Amino acid sequence: MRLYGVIAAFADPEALTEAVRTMRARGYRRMDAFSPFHVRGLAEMLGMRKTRLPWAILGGAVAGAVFVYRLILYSVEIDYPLNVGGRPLHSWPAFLVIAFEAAILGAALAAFFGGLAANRLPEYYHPVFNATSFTYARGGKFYLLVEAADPKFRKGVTKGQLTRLGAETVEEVEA
Amino acid sequence: MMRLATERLILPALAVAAAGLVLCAAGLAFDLRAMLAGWLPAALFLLGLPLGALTILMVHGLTGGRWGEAIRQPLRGLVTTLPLALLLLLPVLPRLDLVFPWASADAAALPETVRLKFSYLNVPFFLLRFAACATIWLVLAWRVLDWTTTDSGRGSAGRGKAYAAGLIAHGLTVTIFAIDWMLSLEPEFSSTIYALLEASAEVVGAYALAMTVLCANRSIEVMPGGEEDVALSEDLANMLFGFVLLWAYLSFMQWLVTWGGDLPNEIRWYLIRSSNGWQYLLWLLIALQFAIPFAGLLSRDLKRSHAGLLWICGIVLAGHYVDVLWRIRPPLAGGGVTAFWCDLAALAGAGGLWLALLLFVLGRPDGIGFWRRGPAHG
Repeated sequence: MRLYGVIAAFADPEALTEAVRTMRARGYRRMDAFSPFHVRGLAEMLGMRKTRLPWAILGGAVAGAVFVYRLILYSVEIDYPLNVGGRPLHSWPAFLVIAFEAAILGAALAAFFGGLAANRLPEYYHPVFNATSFTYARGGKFYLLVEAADPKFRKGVTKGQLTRLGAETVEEVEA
Repeated sequence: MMRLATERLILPALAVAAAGLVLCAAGLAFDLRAMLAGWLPAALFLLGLPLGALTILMVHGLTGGRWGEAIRQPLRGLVTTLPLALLLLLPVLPRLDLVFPWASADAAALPETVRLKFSYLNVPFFLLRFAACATIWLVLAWRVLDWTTTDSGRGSAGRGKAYAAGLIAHGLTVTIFAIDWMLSLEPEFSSTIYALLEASAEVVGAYALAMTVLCANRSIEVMPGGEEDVALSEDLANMLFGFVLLWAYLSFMQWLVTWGGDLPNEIRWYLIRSSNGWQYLLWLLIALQFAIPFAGLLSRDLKRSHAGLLWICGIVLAGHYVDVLWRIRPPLAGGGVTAFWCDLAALAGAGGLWLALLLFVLGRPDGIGFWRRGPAHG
C-alpha cells in the first residue's frame, strides 16, 4: 500500500475553514477540501490557482482560425487556383467567415478536452474515493485532505494535528 | 454630488456651444454647402443617441434584467433630449438641394437607376416622412418615459405588448430615417442591412454614453450584479460587448455582401470611403469601435475597474462618432480634409448645446417630469 495522504472529516463548514487556515499557517501547501455545498472563500484560503482554461480556449480559437485560414489559402492559391468572377485568389472577406466558424469550433474543442484534461482524464478516479469515511453512505461531511507529497507531511504528526483541530475522523488514504 | 458635478459643466458646455455656433454662422455666410456638410454628421450623431436610448429602454421593457434597471436613469435623460436633437436637423431642411443629390438642381442628369427612385425621393414626400417619423418618436419618447418612471417592482410587467408595438413602430421609423437621411446621400447605393446597422450603431453610442454617465456618478464596480460574485459593472460591460459585436457583425456583413457582389453602384460606397484620407478614419473606426473594446472587454479585471470602464465607454462613444462621420461625411466632402473646421464648429455648436441640455436633465431626475404633464410634445 502506498500512502496518498490523510483525510479528516469535520462536522461543519466553520470547523473546516478553521482547519484549513491553521494548516496553511503551519506551512502545509498540498491540501484539498471537499464539501457538500459551496463554502465561500475556501478556494482562496487553500491557495487554489485560478483556472487556466480560458487561455486554453483562446488558444484553441486562434489555432482553429489560423489553421482553417491557411487551409483555404493553400487550396485556392497552391492546390487548385480558381478565378471566380475576377476576384483575387486571396479573397479575405469571404475567408474570414469560415475562419471565424473554425475559431468557434476550436474554442469548443479546447474547452471540452481542456476540461477533461484538467480533471486528469486518464486517471479513472481520484484516490480520495479509497477512504471509507468519504463513501456515499458515510458522506455529507466537510473533508480536508492533506497529501503525502506535501513537504511538511509527517504521517503521525499530521494526523495528530488534524485530530486536535476537531476532526471527527482522521483516515489514511491509499494511492 | 451628481447635481453639483453636472451643474458645474453646464456653463462650459454652453460656452463651447456659443463659440461653435458663432463659427457655424460664419460658415453659413462663407460657404453654405460646406457648412451644411459639416453640420449634418454632427446633427445625425446627436439624434442617434436619444433614438438608441429609446431602443434600449423598450428592449429592456421586454426582457427585464438588473443591467437595465441600473442604467435606466441616464437612458431616460438621453431620451428627454429628443426634441432638441430633432430641432438640430431643421437647418438642413430649407436647403436639401445642397446636401442630397436627388434634390439638387441637376437631378435630371442623374443616372436612370436613380431617376426611377424619384417617386420616393422627392422633397415634399421627404418632408412628410420626416414629420411623421418625428411625431412617432416624440409620442414614443413620451410614452416610454412614462412607462419607465417606476424605479423598481411594477415596472414592465404587463406592458410587454405596448413595448413590442413600440419597438415595431420604432424599427419602421428608424428604417425610413436611415434610408432618407443617410442612404439617399448616395441614391444609387442600396443596402437592405443598412437600417439595422444604423439602429445597432445608435444603440452602441447611446449605451456607451449612458454607461459613462452612470460610471461617473456611481461606483458600479462594487454594486451587486445579476448573479452571485458578479459586479454590476460586469453585467453592464457585457451588454456593451454584445452591442459592439452586433454592430461589428452587421458592418462586416454589409461589406462582405457588397464586396462579393462587386457591382459598380454598390462598391463605390466603399471606394469613396477608403480613399482621399478617409481610409485613416476607417482604421481609426475599426480600432475604436471593434479592436480595442473587443480586446479590453475580454478582461474581467478591466470590467471591475472604475477608470478602465470610463476609458472603454469613452473610446466606444468616440468610435460611434467616427462611425457616423465615416458613413455620412465622405460623399458630402467638398474641400476634402481641409473643410474639417466646419465639422469641428458644428460638433462644438450642436454638441455643446445638446450636452448642456443633457447635463441639465441629469442634474434633476424629477425635471424629466415636464414630459408627463401633458401630450403637448407628442
